Amino acid sequence: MTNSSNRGGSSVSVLNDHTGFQAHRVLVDWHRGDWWDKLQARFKELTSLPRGWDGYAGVPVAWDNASFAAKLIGTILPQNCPEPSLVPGADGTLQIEWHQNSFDIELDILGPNNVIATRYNLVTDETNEVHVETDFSEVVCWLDAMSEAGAEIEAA
Amino acid sequence: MLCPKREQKLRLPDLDDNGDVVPHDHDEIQNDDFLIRRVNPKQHVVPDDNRGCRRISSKLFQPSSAENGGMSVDIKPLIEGLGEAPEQYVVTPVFLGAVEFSVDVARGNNLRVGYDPLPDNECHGEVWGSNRPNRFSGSQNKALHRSCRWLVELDDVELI
Amino acid sequence: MSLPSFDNPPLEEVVLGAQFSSPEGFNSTHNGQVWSLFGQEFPIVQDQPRLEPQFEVFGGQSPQQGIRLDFGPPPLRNRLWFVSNDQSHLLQFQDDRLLLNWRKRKEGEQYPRYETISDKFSEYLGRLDSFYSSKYQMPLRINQAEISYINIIPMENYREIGELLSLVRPSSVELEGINANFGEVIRRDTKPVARITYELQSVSTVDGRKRALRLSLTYRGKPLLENIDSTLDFISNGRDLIVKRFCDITTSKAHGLWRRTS
Repeated sequence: MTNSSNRGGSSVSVLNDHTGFQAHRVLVDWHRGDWWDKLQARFKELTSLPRGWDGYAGVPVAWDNASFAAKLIGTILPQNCPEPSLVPGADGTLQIEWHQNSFDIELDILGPNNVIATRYNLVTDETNEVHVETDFSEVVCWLDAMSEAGAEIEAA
Repeated sequence: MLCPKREQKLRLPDLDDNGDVVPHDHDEIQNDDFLIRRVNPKQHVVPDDNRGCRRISSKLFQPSSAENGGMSVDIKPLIEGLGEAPEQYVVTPVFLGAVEFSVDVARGNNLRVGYDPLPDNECHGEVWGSNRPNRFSGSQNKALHRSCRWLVELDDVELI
Repeated sequence: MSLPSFDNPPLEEVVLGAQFSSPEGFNSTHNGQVWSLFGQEFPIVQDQPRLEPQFEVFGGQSPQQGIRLDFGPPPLRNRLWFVSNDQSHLLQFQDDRLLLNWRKRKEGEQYPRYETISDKFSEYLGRLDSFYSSKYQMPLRINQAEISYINIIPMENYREIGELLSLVRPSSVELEGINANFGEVIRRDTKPVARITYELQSVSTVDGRKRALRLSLTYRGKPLLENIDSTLDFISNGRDLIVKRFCDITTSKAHGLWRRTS
């Protein structure tokens, strides 16, 4: 396995340029299902929104916000997580959200490492809100709970 | 339907050194006035399996996160004062949906409602938070979301 | 307690880097103005493919196996290499990144030591910060920083790997090659603050005659604050940890070979 971030020769190390040593690399591709392709298309759409898309002075989703959100999705979603929705803000931010299995989970990406995460439990009427910079453990627990609830519903 | 034209102008707001409107609560905007928020059917609508519908995202009711950023609105009485129909005004030039809510709901939840005329929209206003102009709390967001009603309804889309 | 030190480490390259928000209004024609900030020390310019944004986040179950979403094309702005005359140092620049590389150009060349490189990087960040503040009314808002130490360890027979690295002890396994990476979350008061990524690869020259192991350790994460001082603090902490970990994962025999002095 190898970290695919160095694919395509875009690496911060310039070592291969002069030492003459060539690495033997293996790349592994993971596939998450049909909605993964849809999500990629959605990101592309959001970063290309025209100015004024919201009827006011809305701007497209900022590239680094989209990149961070994509990284987050790629890193923290459990394997059986349902497809999220992506909603742009007028200011270049975006929100990742799910409304499934009796949970509303919303991750408002205000910037890289600047996320307001909210969960509402429809059954207990309980709301949790956390500001997250780098540690998404609690959000992962939320997503696990939502995904497991979905698996239980399917099994029933 | 055109509304009878009535002169309605608001006092212009103070500007900061960058020429941006300073967040404020405008005393000439009445509590029983309505504010319009435009809705893009492609961007602001999400599927909601919990409620079995498609509905408006809470993101619609968040302000810009820029310093002193607010949530853009159209001030309904100003549109009417131009002799224009609000439901036509807000869907021109780009067709969008629109919801409206009363100023009272905003102020009752500790939000500020101000005037911010733009070159292409003299009826433009902003809603700001009080402690943090550029962020509404969860309860403020919910209050706006739950109190709004359609002005230009989108087919098969619920408010919440 | 002083850090471990070697007279002849297998170190081939050191990279210090910062990632920051791209300023509004930046376009490719501004690259020349940026180069003029560094042109005296780095007179040679080369075009390179753009680097993708990198963010360390924590809490996921398999961060190393994170799937990449490609929704390209990215902003049409290349990465540029600004290279010193002797090729030993280079500055990598794109609108949202600045990296300083030292690389060993010939056998026997001495590593200039961390403090020298770090001071230079701080100075270069300062120049870029002043430029961004003046041109875009926005100082550098640094959201990630990193430091990498890349080692090339000659090894004709990969069966010997266990003699130099305590990580892998193949004993009777006839290793043909190796390609592995793993991560370690670094915490401060239980809170994750950075990740060290270890990468181990078997490498060889094109003609296959010389073989080696490429061992890199990269410390990356979000500095406490967005400014240069906080970034350099973060990088310095990373360097200290990398040196200690390098010692932890290599053997006494290796330390003797590389002439450990402390």
